[in-house]
Amino acid sequence: MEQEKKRFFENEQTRRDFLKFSGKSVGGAIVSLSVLNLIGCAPEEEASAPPVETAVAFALPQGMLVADKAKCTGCQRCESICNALHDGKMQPYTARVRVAENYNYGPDGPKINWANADGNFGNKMMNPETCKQCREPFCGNACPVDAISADPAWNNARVVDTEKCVGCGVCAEACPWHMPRLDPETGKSSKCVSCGACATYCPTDALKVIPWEDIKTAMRRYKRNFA
Amino acid sequence: MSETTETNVLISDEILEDVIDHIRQTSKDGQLVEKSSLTVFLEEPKMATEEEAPEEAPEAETSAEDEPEDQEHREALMTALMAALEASDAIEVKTLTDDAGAEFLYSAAEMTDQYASIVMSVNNKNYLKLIADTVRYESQKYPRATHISLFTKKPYNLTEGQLLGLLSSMSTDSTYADLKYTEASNGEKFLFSERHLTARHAKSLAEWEAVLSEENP
Amino acid sequence: MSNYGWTGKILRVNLSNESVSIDDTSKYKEYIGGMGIGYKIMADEVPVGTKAYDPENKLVFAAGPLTGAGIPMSSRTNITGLSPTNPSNLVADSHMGGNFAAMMKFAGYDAIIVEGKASSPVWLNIQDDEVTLESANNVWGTGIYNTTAVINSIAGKEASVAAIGQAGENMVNLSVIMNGTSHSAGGHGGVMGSKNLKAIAIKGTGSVEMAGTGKEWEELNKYMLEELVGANNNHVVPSTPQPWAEYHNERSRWTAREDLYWGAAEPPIETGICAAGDINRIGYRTDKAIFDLGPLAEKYTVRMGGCQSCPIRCHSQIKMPQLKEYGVSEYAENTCVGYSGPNGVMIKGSKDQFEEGDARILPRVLGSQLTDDYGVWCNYGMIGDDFKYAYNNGILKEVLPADEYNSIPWDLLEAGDPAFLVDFYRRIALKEGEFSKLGMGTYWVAKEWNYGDDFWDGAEDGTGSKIWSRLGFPRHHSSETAGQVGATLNCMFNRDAQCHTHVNLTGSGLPIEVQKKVIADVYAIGSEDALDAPNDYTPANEAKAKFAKWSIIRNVLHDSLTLCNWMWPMTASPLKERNYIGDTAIEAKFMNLVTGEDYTEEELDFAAERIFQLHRALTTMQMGSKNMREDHDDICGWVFDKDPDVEAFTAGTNKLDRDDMKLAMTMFYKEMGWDEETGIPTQATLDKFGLNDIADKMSSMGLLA
Repeated sequence: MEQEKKRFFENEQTRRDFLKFSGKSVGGAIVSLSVLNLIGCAPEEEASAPPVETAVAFALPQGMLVADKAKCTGCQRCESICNALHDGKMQPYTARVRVAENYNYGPDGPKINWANADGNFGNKMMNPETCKQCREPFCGNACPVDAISADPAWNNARVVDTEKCVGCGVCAEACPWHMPRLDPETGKSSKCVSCGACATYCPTDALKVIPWEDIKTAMRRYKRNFA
Repeated sequence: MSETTETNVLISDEILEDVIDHIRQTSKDGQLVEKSSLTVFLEEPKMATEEEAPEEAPEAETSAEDEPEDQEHREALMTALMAALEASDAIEVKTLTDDAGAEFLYSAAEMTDQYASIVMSVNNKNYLKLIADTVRYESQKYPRATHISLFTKKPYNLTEGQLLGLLSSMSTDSTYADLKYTEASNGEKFLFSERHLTARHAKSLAEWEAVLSEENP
Repeated sequence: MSNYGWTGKILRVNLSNESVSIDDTSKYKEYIGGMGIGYKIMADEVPVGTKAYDPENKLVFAAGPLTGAGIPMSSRTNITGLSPTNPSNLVADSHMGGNFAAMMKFAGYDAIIVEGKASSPVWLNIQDDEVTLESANNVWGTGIYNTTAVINSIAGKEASVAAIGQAGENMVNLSVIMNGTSHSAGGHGGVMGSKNLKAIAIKGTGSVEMAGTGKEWEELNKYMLEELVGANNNHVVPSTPQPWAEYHNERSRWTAREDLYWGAAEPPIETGICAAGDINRIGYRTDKAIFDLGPLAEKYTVRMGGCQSCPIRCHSQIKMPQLKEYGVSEYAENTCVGYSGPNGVMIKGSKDQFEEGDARILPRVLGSQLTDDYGVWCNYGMIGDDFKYAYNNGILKEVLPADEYNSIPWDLLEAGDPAFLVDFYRRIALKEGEFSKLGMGTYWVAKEWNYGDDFWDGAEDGTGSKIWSRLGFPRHHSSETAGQVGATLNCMFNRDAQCHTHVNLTGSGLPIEVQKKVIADVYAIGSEDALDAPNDYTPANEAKAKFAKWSIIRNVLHDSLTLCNWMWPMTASPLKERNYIGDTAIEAKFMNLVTGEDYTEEELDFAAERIFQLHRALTTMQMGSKNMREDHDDICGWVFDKDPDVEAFTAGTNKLDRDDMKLAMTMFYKEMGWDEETGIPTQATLDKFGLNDIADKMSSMGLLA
């Protein structure tokens, strides 16, 4: 118990240090190249390098999730591992990380300019969607039966209790990105529990979780070498 | 923290982690680590816990003169570091010695002995022997003729000028009499060893690599 | 009750009476899926003597139990039907990757059978279990790209659409069915066109069930990705010397290295060192852009792409603004012969157009755009050779009316200007004039325009031909790949072989001694004698016959499971710790994980062999042949007559010897349980695989020995 608490504190401490250090309030913010470089996600660059437009980063309990859509090649293996671990069956429709949907024509397509817009038929850009783990959860707040709440078993990520879920679909509607999905086979909703498996197995590091441990080490070395 | 009871010298977990990481990363990058270069990790005066104020600059105090006690201290630290690496589960360190007697380290998980020996030959500047060994190896092992541009790539890193000069000097040295040229139909040049390949065989293999394989995708 | 792996449902679409119905997959279980279902349906439902464009021909789009289960490299659609490219319209299968197969499974179908003919152009709209036929009048006459966009706007942006272009509509023999921007299946486009079926759109929100747990799925995938999988074509060494690797090979497709970038990404993304075992860098291993298009392509490479479930990403995605000059999109995507096939049409070579070195790129990417939109196939690159022969021998001047001849922009061809391709492919796809007969495919155009013997057998010194079979298809990893092994298997299908079991090992980059140990470890082969050093062949032997057989059987197995034959089987491994030996039982492990059954690799190979025996029997019957060795398995002369100054089995030549090849073929027939003279399956063999009804049919046709 002491160990757990200590580690949590260390993680939180690193998280705060890191946010202070990077000078950004990370939470879907575009992250600069220098910051990505520090955490091993980008080539060596000057500190004044422009932000990597295609990369966004989110602070998760276990580390930084960096999602760089320029690296996403549309393999959809993230969907598969999510299904395998959380549904026990393969069903990308309900996967809590999504690539297939935006694969052809991007999130908005097909429009008249489809040949130049995002998507495989256009400029080839993929748009993987991940749960943002919002501080103020649209899904949780909208659920009429309080089926969505923080679960200590999942690092306090918000989780759907399928016993309570009545399959009304309000969570999916309320989420601005429609991440929770009703499974047409079970009638239940589900959402991302921040397990990081999608990133663990991504073949191109388009999704990558940098553990706070590693960030701590990188910060320490940075300071030793450059401070 | 590890301790040697004789010298009472401490290598902190943090130092060890940094050294291991450095050897692994350097090996990953295709370089050997010169053992003596590791002293830079041992120059921090305190090797204790990590929670010291991060804003302080590291105290890099290397004295200008080499006091005997300092020298002995440094050697003891290095010995302890080597012992710690040996004992560590996180890395398998291998050692090579160059012609001048300097020791070099690499991580077995990151670099094969094969690759390390090429890097060492380059360090030793034994280019002629390296080229000959490579060509003979490839002619026998794969078998294939060796595209001469191989020697301009990592880890050989010869310039075209250097390479052509070396090849020219080889042609007059009887030690390398078995090494011959062959050419593909697009002009690309290859070397082979006639100890292991006939001229015809080598030519056909060169032709496959340079021209035909593209026509048979 | 759950169906593990299989969905249990086959969608049957009758275009003549516009009806759909559901068949039960379970009756095809011993045929596994994919190609197996296809051939069983062809055997049961399509009478011998049917022609490819008859409404009685069927197209079976089939997936297997592993499709959609997230198994690495598993979203393959196998399309089976009579093919118009060969003289007897023999049954053949074509294949396409992309997302289509997986989506079909998620919609709830193991296969789709298309039969009959619609009275006017239609497309099939599958929304899970809601299946309708829509009018295709608004897209008929347009290319695949436009068709897909229009259909997606109706079927939903996420729907996977397989479509034909104008070539398929016009029943050009050399036409494709394509899903996505580059995943095309060759030879059956015209069959779809003959049925007035423009496209199939699928949206699936359902699941593929699996018997094993998620954790077990994770473990088996992790094992495969860390220990077995290499780069494209399962090459297991990098193409440059790299610290982590013992070996390297310049022609390996593991092309990632330091200072090699996806140069058109913003900022550029380095491919870098991608060591074996590093799961998160598998997708960078194969930079196929510079491999297919040369070093200049680096700065035009956006990223790599590919099929659902595959970590390899073997299609290069190119952004080249110069392409707009030719009226096509600046974004192109393809791999391998998708690029080199159209390049082969530039028979006078290509010249740089905008910058030094772009001659290597422009005709390939432009050609890829044109062929993918029109939906034209290349017969594995033969179309360029068919054209070259006609051009070089003055045939075109003879057969084309003067007006037509003069209307062709020969100046562009002579100047090496890729704009020539814009005109060329339009004629082929729209069947414009006599010239468009090149779209009939090798056998038919050679017949039509009276090509000489030298077209097939090459010149006296054996140069100038790459045609393998007089049925009209080219070599595809044939005698230049493991000698008699490649030569044998190239004879065994009714189109180019599409088999990579053997070549993935010989091209793996491993030294020959290591390869020999790897192949000796395969249960079905068990001997190092199966493999010779490159261009240093030895006479035929039993081990080689076994290797040829196993190569084909595994190829068929993968087309039934479905798995990608450009990667599977996992014969070799990139790991030194495994002595580079892979795991050929892993298909069975995945099958058991997903289906809950208890297959051994031997049992799966047996089931696959059943399918291949059926293929052979159907081919024999369709040809009405009493001697398949002569009628079907004959090999063009250049294979034996090249390098006339040396004998076969001299180091430095890959020519074969006629008598030796006869013997190799006899040994192969023996392995297959076929008559050793005629190469026709015996009664005993057909019985062994439960194909008694087929045996009876063949017997009644007088074809059994």
